[in-house]
Amino acid sequence: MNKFDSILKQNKEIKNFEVFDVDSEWNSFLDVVGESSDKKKVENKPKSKIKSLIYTFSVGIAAALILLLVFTFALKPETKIKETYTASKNNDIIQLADGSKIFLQNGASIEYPKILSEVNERMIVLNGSAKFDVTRSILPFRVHNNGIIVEVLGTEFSIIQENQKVIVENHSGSVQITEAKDRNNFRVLKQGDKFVYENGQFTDMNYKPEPVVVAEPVAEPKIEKPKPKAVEPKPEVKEEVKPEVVSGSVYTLDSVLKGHLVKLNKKTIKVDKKFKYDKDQRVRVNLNQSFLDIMKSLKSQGFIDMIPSDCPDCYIITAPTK
Amino acid sequence: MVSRPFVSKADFENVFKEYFNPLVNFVNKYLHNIENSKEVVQITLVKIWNNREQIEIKTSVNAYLYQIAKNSMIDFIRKNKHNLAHVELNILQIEQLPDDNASALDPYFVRQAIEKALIPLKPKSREIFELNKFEGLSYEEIAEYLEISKRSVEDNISKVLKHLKEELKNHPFFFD
Repeated sequence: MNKFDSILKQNKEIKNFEVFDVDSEWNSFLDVVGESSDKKKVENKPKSKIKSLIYTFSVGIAAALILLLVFTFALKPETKIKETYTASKNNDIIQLADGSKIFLQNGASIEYPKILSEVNERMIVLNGSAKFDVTRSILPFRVHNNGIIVEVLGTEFSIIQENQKVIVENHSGSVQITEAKDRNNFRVLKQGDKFVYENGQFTDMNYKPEPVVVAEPVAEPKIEKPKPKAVEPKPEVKEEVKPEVVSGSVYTLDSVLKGHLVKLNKKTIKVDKKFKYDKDQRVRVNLNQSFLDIMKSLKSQGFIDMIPSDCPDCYIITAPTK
Repeated sequence: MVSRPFVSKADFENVFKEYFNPLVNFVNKYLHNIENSKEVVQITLVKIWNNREQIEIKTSVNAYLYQIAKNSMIDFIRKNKHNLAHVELNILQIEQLPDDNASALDPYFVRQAIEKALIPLKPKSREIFELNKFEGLSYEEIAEYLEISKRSVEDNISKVLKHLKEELKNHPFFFD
């Protein structure tokens, strides 16, 4: 776990991390904003009840213990953490306390945590199909579905359950899917990846070969995602320059390059060290596109150029050629 | 996609409890005063509370809270510049922080997770681990400071690391 050691080293920068009792801070906060603390009221009631019982009937410690037991049982239903729900229509939305959204298909049922402050993970048990838009959080987000566990940090993905088959499609970020019975059998999905799980096997749906039109030897299937046009074994990046209408959102060039492309493709995409660019340069891209399409879009806008690197599907982002 | 994560009191309470400590420690990095830092975070959270029904987030709760905290910190320094001469110089540094940095609070979440995982350990083991990993003391220095053997320091750190790796192995910040 080298990452763990490097994280520890990074944390040296944080001197004297102070930990405050968030419950008492929350109560103080409610006083500041003029909201009465419901918890305080709830806590006060049993205390006063117990006291009055003790003073009125002089029962003593035994009675107090019995009352405490009664209150413990009485309070149990309030601390219900899990909630179950079955969708009665398509795109039925469940929103978790952290803002994560689950779009259930008709008939899909889930069990999900209602209160996140009392759990160590956001564990969902899904039976059926659903799409997930997960808010980034320190709590792991795990979906158990038909023998697999889908685990993420913050992303958008879909699960489609078809009898014994489960299809997981990742729309953004990264997702890990693991066979529940064999935790060593797992796959990590990048943006755009689509895997099928059936009988303990994961199959990448993006590996499907393109229909062969040219009677030439077909390129061997590659480990990474197939290229859209797999005619040449190693295509040069001389794609057609389309006068495209750029859609998407505005980001800084730096956040797209370093915060998205390189961060999510550490092994395949690098930025040329000689490429000095304006980090605050605003660019318009659609981050839901494939990484290659994003690079092509930046290239067509004249912000970057790219050259193939040593390995298949590897690129170096360079300064734009004039 | 736009989210409205603060609409209900329960949602806000969850965000408050999850983010309070990371935010205070993030602000304290620049203000160097824990009470002032708590005040800035309180101002930040009150702002959000007062507008919680209207707030729509297009980025993430993480990035949004970071940005509001950054702005509150700048306002706080400007309003209290006579009392905060020692941090006034930092205002330029704070102003230059990027507006959209979704991962600025990540190290603080990591630290919070580590602190939480350290709770069940013996105070002595925790102290030894913190002196080594966060204060940067060598094994020899810790042994001298605590008047114990170097071997004992090594054993304690090894035990704590083993415990932490087990506790945090499934934590999103610690797996690839």
